[in-house]
Parts: sequence; structure tokens; C-alpha cells
Amino acid sequence: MSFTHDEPPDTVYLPRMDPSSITPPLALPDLPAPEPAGARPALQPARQPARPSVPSSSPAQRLAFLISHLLAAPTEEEARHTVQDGLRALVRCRRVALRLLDDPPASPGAAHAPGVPVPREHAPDAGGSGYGTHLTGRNDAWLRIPILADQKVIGTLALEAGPGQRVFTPAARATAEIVAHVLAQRLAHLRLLALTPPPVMPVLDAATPAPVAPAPAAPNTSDRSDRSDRPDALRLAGVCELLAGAVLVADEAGRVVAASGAFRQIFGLSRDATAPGVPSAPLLERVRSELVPLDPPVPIGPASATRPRRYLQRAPVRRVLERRVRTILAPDGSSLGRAVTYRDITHDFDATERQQRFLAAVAHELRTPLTGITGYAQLLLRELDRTSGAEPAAHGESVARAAQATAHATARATMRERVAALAGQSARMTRLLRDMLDLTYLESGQLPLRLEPVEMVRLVAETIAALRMSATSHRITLQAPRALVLRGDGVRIEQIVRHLLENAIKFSPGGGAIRVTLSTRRGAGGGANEVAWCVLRLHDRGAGVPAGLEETIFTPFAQPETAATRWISGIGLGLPLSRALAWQHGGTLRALPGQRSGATFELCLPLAGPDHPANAPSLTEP
Amino acid sequence: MSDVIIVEDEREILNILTQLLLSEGYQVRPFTDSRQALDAARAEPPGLALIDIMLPYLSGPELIQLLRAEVNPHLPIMAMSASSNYHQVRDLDIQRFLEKPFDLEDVLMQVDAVAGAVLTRSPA
Repeated sequence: MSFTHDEPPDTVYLPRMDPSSITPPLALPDLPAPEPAGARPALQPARQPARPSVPSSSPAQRLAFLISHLLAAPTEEEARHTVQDGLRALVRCRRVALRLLDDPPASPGAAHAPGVPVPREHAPDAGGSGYGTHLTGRNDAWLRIPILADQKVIGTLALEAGPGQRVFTPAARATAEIVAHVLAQRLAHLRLLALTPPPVMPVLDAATPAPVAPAPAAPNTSDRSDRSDRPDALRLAGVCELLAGAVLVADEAGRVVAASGAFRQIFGLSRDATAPGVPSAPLLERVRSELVPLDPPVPIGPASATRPRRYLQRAPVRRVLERRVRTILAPDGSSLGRAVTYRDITHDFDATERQQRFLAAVAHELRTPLTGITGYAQLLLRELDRTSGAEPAAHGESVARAAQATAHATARATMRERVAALAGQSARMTRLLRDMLDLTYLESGQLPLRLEPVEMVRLVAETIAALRMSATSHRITLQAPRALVLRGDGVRIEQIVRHLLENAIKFSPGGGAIRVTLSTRRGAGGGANEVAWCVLRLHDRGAGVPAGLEETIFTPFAQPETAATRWISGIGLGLPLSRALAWQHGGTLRALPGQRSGATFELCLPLAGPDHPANAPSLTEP
Repeated sequence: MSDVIIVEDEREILNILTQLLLSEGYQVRPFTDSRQALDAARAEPPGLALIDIMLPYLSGPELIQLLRAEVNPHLPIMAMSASSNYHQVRDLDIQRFLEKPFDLEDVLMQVDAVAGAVLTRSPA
């Protein structure tokens, strides 16, 4: 079949596909081993099998494979070859040509193998007809896709259909567009990295001295040796882009390595403001000064690093943002830098707030009738107890009267039992409602702590003593120093300890030992950031926390019902509330995983309290 | 003689508290209307006031203010509410706060602690 300019072009203009809707695999594949420099010329049809070949699976899987490879490509050249090889395999076509605007001018001898015509698409006179499928009149057709970076054309990707091919299907066109999009991102990162003096790189080979800030390399350098040392920086940049959110990555020295477009967009920053090498601290400070914190300040410590924090952005639009700061580690454990991410959670936040208001209203409405039920049940109990001794004596009465009296006494005993159960159940419902309201108030920041010195040993001992009544078959032991004083809200800490103890008692119904230990632990930060912790561990020999549910048990009503999570439905709100209270104190609460028998819960609270200057929130900022 | 004024618009809860205190030998004046309670307290000051926070007409906090200003600045007052809104409760000039639903034994302990010395009590 032949095409001429007179025939209607065989072009299918698809609605533009959003390439970001294609989710590449989250884990980047291992990078290919570095190849010798200058191993291959630009457009060699047969490629060396140094990099893994595209697996023969579904087109979507093969596309994902190609994207993941492209995102991990260590050099521009590698990225180009990945695109050319990968696309040729994915889209049946004779040739894939890739040209960037800043490439040296194409000449038949230099850029293309002899005998292969210069694609008309790349010729300077080819413009005017826009992108799409173009017919050359030479018995073939080209599909030309722009490579866009921040809405600017930085090059073209052209696919050549062989003679006799009915050119390009919509799927082929979409595939090429996605690949062009990812390529643009990868190229942008590689160029950023080439411009930025790299952070201290991990020493991969002990014999090689650590590279000390090599001179900035030219963007198109073909010298592979210095870049193949930098898989972590590349992986970092790839992950940064994969997140597709507002991300700023800074190196150990606090200089910007990369910032995503979403980051600039949310905070109205120019490209220059987030250019590589710019000091990140004043930038992040400026960004944060526009935000109103929605969470109480937290201290430095094991808790602060991983905990997301929420902020309100008032202008230009109202947004609720969730901020996370992560340290990026090299394989040897040394820090390469930090990634600061902001996620727009406005929708979730508003939905949660509506839900909380509803919960608070419902709980409040339920409390009034519950007061009546509890009150009458307790009044009845008091009256039954008060009159129990006032039965008429059976002495001297007829046998029938005595039998009647006995039956009466039995009925009274049954009645008392039932009323006591009624009182007990309504008390349980009261506790549940109280927890629910506390949790709601806590999450909306309406449950302020009253900080004062709290003597933990006495607090824990008294809580244990109060619960011994309901745990007659349990042996609760406390191992603690003579005294341990921290700054916190005694009422709230007692609430946490009581919930943990009640939980341990409830989930070891057969009785058994419950071991409580209190100790202190130094912080890991060292120096001024050091926080000393009060550590309370509570170990029981009960059913234990099902493996994998160590976090789920702290999430109120969030888990789907399965055989394992049904276990959770009975535990009420004590654990979520306790964790929220621990967090509010700047501490942590977790179930230790991998327990051989029973469960162990660990509560860590900072001795100096959440408001101590050493725990000032600014110290947690990069 | 010194008695307890209870102001609570929910009849059943008012009844429970009244029965409870009567059974312990206290003398009680129950009201569902806070305005009547204020008049009664003006006429004859009580030894303790037990006041719900959410009341129609004259709210709990308003009633507390008026009792302090017009009846007795040192009158022992216990407030109760189904809401544990801590901001609201913290600002109240009261001796004790009872969160609904309350435990009756706890109510008795609190009454005794706050006003046991001034209240008239007959053997139950």
C-alpha cells in the first residue's frame, strides 16, 4: 500500500491521554551495570543485550517495564537508547528516531546510519503541519510526538512505519506519548543532576576514594564514569518524580537538588526560586511561614521523623496540606539529603471534620438518655441492696410461707443480677462514648493538655491497684525505679495506662501474668536534640496481636472486616485514643511485633514534656 | 438548715438525682426551670447547687454567675453536662464538674466532699 499527499492522512487524533494516569511499578529495578564508555554509536539497530530485554508479557506490563527502566536510566544516552529500543519493540515500526532541540544539527553522515534517509520530521522545513502522523510520499509514514518539558517543546520523537504498514493505531500513538512524557521527565532530572554538584556519594568500592564534589559536568557529557557512581541520587530523583506530588529534595548541605512542578505550583514559586543549588532552608522557611499548623507541636525523637503534620494554607486558595520530611539514606546508612513533601489533603480533612462534628453531636445526644438508663439502673441496685435484709423472717411460719419466701429471695437475687448487668453494660457504653468524644476532640485539637509534673511510678501503681478488682485471676507485676517524674497531663497518661491494662486483662481471659516495666531511655539525637524518654512496657500472655495488625489496631473503625480484623472489633477505641494522647504528649505508642507469646505494648513519653524548648518544633525542620 | 438545689431540665435525670440525695438523707429542692431556681435561691439560700449547663431560658453559666453575685459568692456549686467541652467547663466558676452519664456513688462522694459540712442531713 502506498500513500500520497492526496490521500486523506491516516491519522487518528486521540483525546490527549494523561500519562500520569499510568502508574509505573513503585520499586525501581536495579540499575544495569555500567557499560564501557563509547560502546555504541547513536542509532545502531542491533543493541547489545547489556540491559534486560523487554519481557514478553501484556503490552501494559511491557510499557511499565520500559518506563521503570527509563526512570532509572543513569545517562541521557542510556535513556535515549531505552526509548528507541523499547518503543521499537512495543510499537511495531521500522525505526524510532529521537531528536532534541539542543542536539547538534542532524547531518545524514553523523546522526544516521548510511543509507537511512534523514527523517523528514526532523528536517528544519518540516514544521507547519503540527504533530501527528505525516506522510512522506516515499511509501512510508511518520508519527511525530513532541517531547514537552513544562509545556515547552524540547524535542521530537518520531516513529517510522515500514512499507505496507497501515501506520499507527491509537494505542501505538498513546504509548509513544507516554514514553515521550516520561523521557522528558528523565532528561530534565539527568540535566538537573548534571548541573548540581552531587552530595556526598556513598563509597561503593572501598578501594576508590570518595568523590569530592566533582566539577559540574556538561549536560550531554558522554563520560559515564562519574555518573555511574550516583545511583542513589538518580533513584532519589526518580522516586521524587514517581510521587507526582509536591516534593523538594535537598542534599546534606541543604541545597536544593530537585523540586517538582507541583511544589512550585502550590507555593507559587518560580523556577529560579527552586533551582538546583539554591539553599533550601530559607525557601522552606518562607513556604512554612505561609502555613498555619493544625497539629500541636511535637518534639524531636523517634516519633517526629515519620509523623505527618498538617497545615492550613489560606491563600491563594484554602488548602490543607500534609507535610512529611524524610531523610534519604545511602545503602551504607549515611544520609544523602532530605525530601520534603506536601500532600493536598483538603478533601479528606474536610470529610473527616464533618464526620467528627457528626460523631460529637451523636455522642452528645446519646449521653442524655444514657444518663437516665445508668442512673435508674444504679438507683434500682441501691434500693435492692438496701432492702435485701428486710425480708420477713420465715421462722415459725408455715412450710408454704417459707417456700414462698425462698422463691422470693431467689427472684430478688436474679433481679439484682440482671439490674447489675444493665448497669454494667450502660457503664461500658458510657466509656465507649467518652472515648469516642475524647478522640474526636483530640483530633480536632480541642483537648488541650494540662501539663504538670507527673510521678509515673505512683500513677502506674495506682492504676494497677484500681484494676485489680476486675483482674482477680491475673498476676500484675510492676518493675520500676523508685520514682520517675515527667512533665505531662496526669489524667491523660492515666487514661493511656488504664486502657493498656484493661486491654491486657481482656485479651488474656484465662488469667496469667501481666508484666509492667517502667524505665528511662536516652534520645538518639544526641546533643541539644537529645530527649530522655520514659518507657512503659506492658507484656501479657494472652492471645497476642495478630501478625500484621500491629498498626491496624490503632486505627479507629478503619479496617475492612476479615477474620483477623474481627479480632479488633471488640477492643473499642482505647488504643486509637491512647496513641493519639501519646502523640499529643510528643510520645509514641506501639505494639511490638514478633512477640512469641502474648502482646507487648510500648509507651514512650518525653520526660521534659511536649513544650520543652529542647523539643521545639523548629528543630524538626530541615 | 441547708439544702441542695438541683436544676436540670431533663425530668428523668432530675428525678434520679433527687431520689439519690433524698435516699441519703439530704434535703432537696428540684427545679426544671432555672428562673424558678434562682428565685428560690434568692428567697432561701441553699447549701449546694447542682446545675446542668445546658438549660433553656437562663443557661447554666448565667445561673451560676447570678447565684454568685446575688446569693452567696462562696456557694458550693457543682455543674453537670453531657458535653465534655473542656473550654466551656474550664472557664466556669465551680467546685466540681460531673460529666454525664455519671456514676451515682461518685455523685454522692463529690457532694459530700464539696458541701458535706454545711448540708443538713437526716438519717436515711
